[in-house]
Amino acid sequence: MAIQAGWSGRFYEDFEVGDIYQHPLGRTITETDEVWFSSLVTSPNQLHFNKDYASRTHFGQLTVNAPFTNALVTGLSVSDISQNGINLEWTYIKVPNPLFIGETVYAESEVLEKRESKSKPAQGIVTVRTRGITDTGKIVIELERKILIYKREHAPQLNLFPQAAKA
Amino acid sequence: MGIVESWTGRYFEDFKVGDIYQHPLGRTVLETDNVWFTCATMNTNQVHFNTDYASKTAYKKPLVNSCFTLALVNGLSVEGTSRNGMVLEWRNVRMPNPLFVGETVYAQTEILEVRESKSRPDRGIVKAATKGITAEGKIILKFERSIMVYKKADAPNTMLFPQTAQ
Repeated sequence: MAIQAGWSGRFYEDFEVGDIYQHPLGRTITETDEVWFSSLVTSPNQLHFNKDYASRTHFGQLTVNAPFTNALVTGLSVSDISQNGINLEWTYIKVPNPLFIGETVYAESEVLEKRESKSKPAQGIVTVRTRGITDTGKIVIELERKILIYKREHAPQLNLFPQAAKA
Repeated sequence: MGIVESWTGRYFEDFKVGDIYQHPLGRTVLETDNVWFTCATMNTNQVHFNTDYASKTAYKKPLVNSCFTLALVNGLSVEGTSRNGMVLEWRNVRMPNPLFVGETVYAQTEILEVRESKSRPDRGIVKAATKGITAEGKIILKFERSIMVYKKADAPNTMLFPQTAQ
């Protein structure tokens, strides 16, 4: 019996080029996500919140705001990729197929490259390609991004958990 | 007197290479935005929602989720760019400086390329470079984006406003 550490994400040492992570969480897109998100980021494209308008486009229905898809698929990948890191850039983000309300999205990442950071010895740079895939296998987003990731001994969450005060 | 046309965004014909749009809306980023957005997108990086953790990083305070920054800067630009279109891809999305809660973000876009769509005669493709700039002038995001935009005659918002029932 002892205190067991929970999953706290990967550190720089844990990444191997060619490794593929199938991120465990999937997420069903709700109508609320779509309308709330588009309004929150002040995006006035009616394709995301006006069914009357959307019915007149070739999609025929509301289409999920691509920055939301990117945020969700990137988000789903964080527990395996960048929980201990900082996003440096997206090299590209492509939207090969539309995503619709009610569809469920999973994310899968492949490690493309890893190298030490020249300026920050406590961190390294990892490049990954991530795809968002619906439960029916449709690819709704593909992106490549670079992340600056802490080495294990330098990660800020070491000894983060508080000690309970004496009663 | 009479019904006056409101701003409905640009159509394919309206884009000219070299034109720069300074998008009129700015947006102050709130603590709620950062925490809510990060959690709603299942993102488990504590630098966005745990001030204790963030205080131990180089930033010393929560960093705004760059997925939110991208969505916001992109969103602010939609009124002048893709309001009558859809995004095809982003390239070279970079964060030259960190963004923090309480800062106010504006967006500016330059048109790089305009061409007809080969497959869809009712639309064209526009390539643009957009920057996110804080009220103090700090550039917090840059990206290039290709969008497919309707021509005015083919846009779905023509005759959209309902007629009042008798």
